[in-house]
Amino acid sequence: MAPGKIREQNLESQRLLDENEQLRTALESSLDENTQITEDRDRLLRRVAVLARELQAANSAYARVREAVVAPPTDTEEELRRSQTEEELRVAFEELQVLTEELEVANAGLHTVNSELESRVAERTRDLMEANAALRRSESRLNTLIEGMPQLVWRAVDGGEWVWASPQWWEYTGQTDEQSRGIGWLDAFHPSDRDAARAAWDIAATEGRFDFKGRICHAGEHRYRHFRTRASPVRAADGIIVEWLGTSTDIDDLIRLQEQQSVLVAELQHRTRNLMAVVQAVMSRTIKGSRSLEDFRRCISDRLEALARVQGLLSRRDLGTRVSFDALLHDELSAHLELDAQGNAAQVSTEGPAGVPLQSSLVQTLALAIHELMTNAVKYGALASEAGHLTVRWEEVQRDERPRLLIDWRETGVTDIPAPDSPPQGSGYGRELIERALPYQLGARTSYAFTADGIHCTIEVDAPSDRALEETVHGSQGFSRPPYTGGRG
Amino acid sequence: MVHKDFHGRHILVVEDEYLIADDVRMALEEAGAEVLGPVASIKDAEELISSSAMIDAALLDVNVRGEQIFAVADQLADRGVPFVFATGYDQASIPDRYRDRPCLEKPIRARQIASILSPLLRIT
Repeated sequence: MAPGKIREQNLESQRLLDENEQLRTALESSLDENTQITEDRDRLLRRVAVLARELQAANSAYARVREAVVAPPTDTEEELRRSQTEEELRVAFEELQVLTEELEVANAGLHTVNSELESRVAERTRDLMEANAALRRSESRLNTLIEGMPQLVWRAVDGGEWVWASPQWWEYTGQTDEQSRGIGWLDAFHPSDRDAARAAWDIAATEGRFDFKGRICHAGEHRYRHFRTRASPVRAADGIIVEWLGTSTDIDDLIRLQEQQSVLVAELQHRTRNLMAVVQAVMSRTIKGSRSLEDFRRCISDRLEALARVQGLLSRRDLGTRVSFDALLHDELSAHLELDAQGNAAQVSTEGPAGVPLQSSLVQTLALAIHELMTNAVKYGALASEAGHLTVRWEEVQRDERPRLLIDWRETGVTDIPAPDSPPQGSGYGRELIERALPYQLGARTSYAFTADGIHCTIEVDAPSDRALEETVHGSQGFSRPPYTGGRG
Repeated sequence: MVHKDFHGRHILVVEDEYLIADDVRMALEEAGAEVLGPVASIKDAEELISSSAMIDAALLDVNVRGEQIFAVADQLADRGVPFVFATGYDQASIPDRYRDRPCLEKPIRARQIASILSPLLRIT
């Protein structure tokens, strides 16, 4: 939840409270006024009642006087009493008239005040209802937002006692609303992270923020995932922290990716150094086998290109599938010969299933061996003259219940076969790779022979039983199991 | 390796990359050493150690066919045979108990092998 939004909500609530207060004051003063007017009216009514009684008395007196007048002639005393009574009556009437007028004015005032009050109350009620409706709409939008976000959202009072957690929290941790309250949420954290969580709360108030990384148990998967948990304080106008609004964000994938990245960086370094070691070894061999600088230049450049090709194959392998033998062979053929659209070359037959996987550790050395065979075939063997032919056959077989790949390289139609005891044509490096390197490092069985019309070479190596790579990148627990076994450590 | 300092010394080499192993072998032999191996697997290394009465020092590739060399290092340490690690990873891949052992980072040069093995063999 954005702190700005919260502040806005709080300001709106404050404004409504202020208005209510004003309304209450207005109502109270109106009521006071009302009471005052009512008291005035009651006083007048009492006065009117007194006057009315007096008037009544005066009237009866007057009646008695009239009777006396009608009957015997009256004396002056009687006359005087009559005129006094008439005067009292007149005064009482006048007073009554004045009081009645006052009463009317008071009543009219009361009426005006009452109707004013009513209209103000109606107006305020309308405002209040509108404001409440707006608040409800805003709250519902906020709730939709909170419940739709991937973060686990919660509210806490100072010291980290939760007062509310979003449904995401219940769903992720399996806790009930009740269980998460107070410091119940701590139970969802990894036991070794709980002290750190408490420590983060200890400094939260002075820091003005809460921020810590810890693992929270996923109820569904029964495993801990890394989370970053943060909270900001909600402050009253005087700066006092009212509560904390917090989120817990799942950073598990991020951490995993970072770990994988550091493993891959180390792996890359390993591969590069290893490749440099191989280049160094290839170079010293090439120097020994070269008759001239020009010879060396041509030969080393070919071999480095072959190494570059195999790096290309190995990096495609990183997509999760193994390098297949036919892909490796195709790369070597196309580097030396012109292939047609179907990948076929003149004078070359290839026979074998597509997609036979190679062990990662085999790819580099096998590619170098095939490269040397190919170079020799082009320079001195089956592909040096139009009469020759090269047949490469391969198949997967089971031997001692282990899958093995058999490769059969046969050159025919070669007329210029060297005598068995003559020094090797070329550097003899290909033969060394096949007869010594492959058996040494890969437990391969190999043969290399000059037959009556060309070279016949066989290579038999372990084939992985699955085509997907078994090597997956693990976490950052050192290199207890290096993910890459293609290069040698 | 220019000096033939290592005459009569028996040096075990564990390295699963043939080209590197063969280079190391030739360099050591040129220096006069007797090379035990090279071997390309943990199992072969363990067998060779058990069957060899004389081992003066060893050069150990850290990762051999996807396996860590440290069981072999333990076997040598028990016999009091000094050894040097060779690795394509950085030295963080070496366990704490062997942090103070000499370590060569690949690619290795023949000259480095001589200078790193000499003090172990008390050759000055």
